Amino acid sequence: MRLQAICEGHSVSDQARMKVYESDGLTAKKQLPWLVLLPATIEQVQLIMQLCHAHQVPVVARGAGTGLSGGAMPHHEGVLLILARFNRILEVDQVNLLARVEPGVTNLAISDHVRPLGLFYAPDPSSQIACTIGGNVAENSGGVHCLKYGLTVHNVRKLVMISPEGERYELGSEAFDSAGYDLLALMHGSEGMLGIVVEVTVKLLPVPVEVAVLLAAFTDVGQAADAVGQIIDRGLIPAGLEMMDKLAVQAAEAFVHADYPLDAAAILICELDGSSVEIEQQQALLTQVLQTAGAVQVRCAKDAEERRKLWLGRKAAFPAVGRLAPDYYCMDGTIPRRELARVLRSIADFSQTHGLAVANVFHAGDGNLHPLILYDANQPGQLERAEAFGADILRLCIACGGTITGEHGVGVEKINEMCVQFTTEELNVFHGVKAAFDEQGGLNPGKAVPTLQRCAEFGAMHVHRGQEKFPELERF
Amino acid sequence: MAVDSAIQHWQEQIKGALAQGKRLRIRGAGSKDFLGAVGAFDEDITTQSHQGIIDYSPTELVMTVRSGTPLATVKAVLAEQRQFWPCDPPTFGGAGTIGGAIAAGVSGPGRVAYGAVRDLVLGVGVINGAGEALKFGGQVMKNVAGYDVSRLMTGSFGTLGLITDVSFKVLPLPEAEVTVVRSETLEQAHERFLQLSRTPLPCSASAWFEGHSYLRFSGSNAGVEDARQTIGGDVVAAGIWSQIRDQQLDAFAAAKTVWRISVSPGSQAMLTQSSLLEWSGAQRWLLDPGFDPRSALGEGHATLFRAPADDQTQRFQPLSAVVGGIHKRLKHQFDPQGIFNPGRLYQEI
Repeated sequence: MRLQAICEGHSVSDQARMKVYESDGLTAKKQLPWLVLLPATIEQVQLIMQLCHAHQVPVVARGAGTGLSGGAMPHHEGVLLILARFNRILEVDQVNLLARVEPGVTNLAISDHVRPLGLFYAPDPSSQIACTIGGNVAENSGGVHCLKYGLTVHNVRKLVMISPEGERYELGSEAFDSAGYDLLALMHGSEGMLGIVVEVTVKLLPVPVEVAVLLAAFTDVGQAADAVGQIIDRGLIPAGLEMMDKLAVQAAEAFVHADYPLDAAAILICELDGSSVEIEQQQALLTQVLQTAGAVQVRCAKDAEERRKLWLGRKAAFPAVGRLAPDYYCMDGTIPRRELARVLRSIADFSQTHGLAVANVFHAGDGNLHPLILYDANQPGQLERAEAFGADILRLCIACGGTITGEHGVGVEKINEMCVQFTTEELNVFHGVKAAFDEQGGLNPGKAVPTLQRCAEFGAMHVHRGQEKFPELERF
Repeated sequence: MAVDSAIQHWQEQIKGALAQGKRLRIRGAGSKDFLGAVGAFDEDITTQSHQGIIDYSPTELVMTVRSGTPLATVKAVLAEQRQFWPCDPPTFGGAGTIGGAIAAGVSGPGRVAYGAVRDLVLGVGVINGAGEALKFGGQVMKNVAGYDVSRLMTGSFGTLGLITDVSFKVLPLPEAEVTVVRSETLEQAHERFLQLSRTPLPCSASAWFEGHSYLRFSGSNAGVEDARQTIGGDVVAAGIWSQIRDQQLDAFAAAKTVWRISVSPGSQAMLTQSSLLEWSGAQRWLLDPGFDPRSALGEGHATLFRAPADDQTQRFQPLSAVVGGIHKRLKHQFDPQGIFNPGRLYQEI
C-alpha cells in the first residue's frame, strides 16, 4: 500500500499492535486508528498529507501521546501520524540564543542539551521527560515556571509547517516578529487542527545565577490561596508559585519523600531566581509576606538536592495521587487568582455531593487549577460521577470569569463545555479559522471546536454568561 | 446584561456600510495614520470616544479597557498602583489609544525583556465584518479554549474586525531602574548587546545611535546597582527611551523615508547602514537609505514605516504564496465583504 511504503516499514496496521496507540494520556477515551504511520522526514510527511488529502483520509498528528484531553485520540477511518521519530536537535545558535529542533524532541531534552552552554528552555510542563515540543506547540503548554517565563507561545520563534495539502511553509522567523497576521501565535494551542508542525525554533535563556526555593505551610487552604495575591501585591513575580492541598501533599510525600509537612492544609512552593544579591533581598521580603499571610512554617531549601526534592514532589503529584485510587480524572480550569479561595471551597462541596475524593494541585501564580478527581472505573457509575464532578468544576471556572482549559486543551474531553464558554457566533469564527487552514477538514476532525449541532444537543438549556435565552419565559 | 451603547452604534454603522457597499477605516486617535498603506475607504468608524477602564485589580496583573482609552490614561492608572504595561507601545505625537496599540502591534524599547504587545494580550472584544460582537480569550494568564483570536487580532491593522475592548497582562514596576550611556561605534555596541544577552544581568532595553550606546537595567535595588557597576558607563535620564520609542530623535524628524528592519540580533544585514539599533540588534532603523532593503535581507523582514504618500513601495514585506493564501482566507472569514481597512496591510486583504 502506498501510504505504508512512504514510511519504509515504519507503520502499524494490525489491530493488536495498534492497541498501544488507541488513546493519549486521557485513557478514558479510546479509539483504534485505521493506520499508524511513523515518518522520519519532512518529504515523507508531505507525501502522506498529499495522499490523504487526495483520498479524503483524516489525519491525526501526535508526538509522545502524553496529552490529557484526548486531542490525539485516533480517528477510526484515519491515519495516526506519529512524529516521535523526528527526534533530532538540529542546531543551537549561541549568538541569537535559539535552538532549531524537530517536533518529536522531548521538552526536557532541549534544556539538557544546552545546559553545558549555560542556557535553558523555559517552559517545563510536568510531563517534560516524555512530552514532545511539537505537542507543546499544539497545546501551548505551560509548566511550573510560566508566571515569570511565559508559555510555549512566548518561547517559540519559528515553525516549519506542512499544510493539509502537503505544502511546506514557515511561520515566524529568527527575528522577533514577522510581517502580516500573527499566524505563529495562532498555531499555538490549535491542537493539531490547522497544520502539521515539522520543525520548531525555540528561544533559549541564560541559566539564572542563583535559585531559591521556599516551602510555606498553612493550616487553612483559604489563607494559602490569599497569600498568592499578597505576594504579587508586594511586587514579587516568583519564577514559580505552586500550591498543593492536604491530600496531594500526603500522596506526594508518600511517593517521593520530599519532607513535606503532613499536617498542613495546604502548602505553597515558591521559587525565586536571579543574582545572589537579588535573591537575598527577595527571599527576605517573601518570607515576611508568607508569615504575615498566616504561614505556620516557611522553609528555604538549603541546597540543590533539597530544591530538587521540593520540586520533585510537585512534579510527581499526578502519579503520586494515582496511587491513591485506581483512576483519577485531571481537570485544567483557570480562574482569576482572587477567586482561588472561593473555588476551592466549592470544589470541596462538589466532592461531598458526588461522593468522590479530590486532590488539588495547581499553578497558583497563574490561577490554573488541576483538581484530580479520584474514582474507580471498575465500580459502576463512578466514571460518570467523576465526569459530572469535572463538568461542575469547569462551569464554575467559566462563572468566575475563567476558562475551561489553561494548558491541557479541549480535545474531545471538554468539547461540550466549549458550548458554554462561547456563543454560536464565536464558535462559527473558530470554524472559519479552521477552514482558512484546512478547507477539507481532514486534520484532527471532531476535536477542539464543537459543531453547532452538537451544542444544540448538549446545551438545550444551558445558561450563557448568566444570560438565558427568552428570560421572560417561566421555567419548570 | 446591558449591551454597550457604543457597540450597538458601531454595529449599526457596520450594517449600514454592508448595505451600501461602503468601506470603513477603523480609527482611534489617528496617531498611526501614517503607518501602513493608505488603502481605500469611504468613511471612518472611530473608537476614540469609547473610553474607560472596565476592570482592574492589581493583584491579578490584568487590566481590561475600552479600545478608545488613551495609552496615557492606562499608564497613569497603572502607575498609581506601581504597575506598568511593559511592552510600552509608542505614543506618536503624544497620542494613541489602546485599541490602536493592539491593532498595530508595535512594541517599545522593553520588548526584549518583557515581550511584545502580542505576548501580553489576554483577551479581546471584537465586532467582525458581519457586525457580530464577539469575545475571545479572557482575563486569565493561561487559556487554550478555542483558537488564539486575541493574538491574531494583534498587529492585524484592523483588517479583521473592530476591537471594542481588550484585556492585557501588566507587571509591577521594577523597584529600581538606571540608564547608562557610553560613546562607542555601532560595531562595538552591537557586540556588547549580544554579549549582554548571554548573561543574566537585568538589561531591559538597549539602543545605539549617533555614536552612543544606551543600556537600561531594571529590577531590585541590589540587582540594578550590581549591573551598573559591572557594565559601567555614565548614568543618564530615562527620558531617552521615550524619545527613541516615539521617534523624536532629530535624525527621524529630518528623514523622508524610515525603514524598520526586523532580523535576528546577531544578523549582519543592514547593520552598518542603520541609524538606530534597538532590541539587542534585532530592530534596526534605516533613514533615507535610497534603496529597497528587502532584496539584501535574508531572514527577517522590512517595513517601510514612514514614506511620502506618493511612494508606491509596498509598506509590509510580501508574504510567501502559502502564507498569503491563508491571509486571504482568514480575511474572508472575518470580513467577507472586505469592509474593514481594505489595503492597509496588503492589497489583497
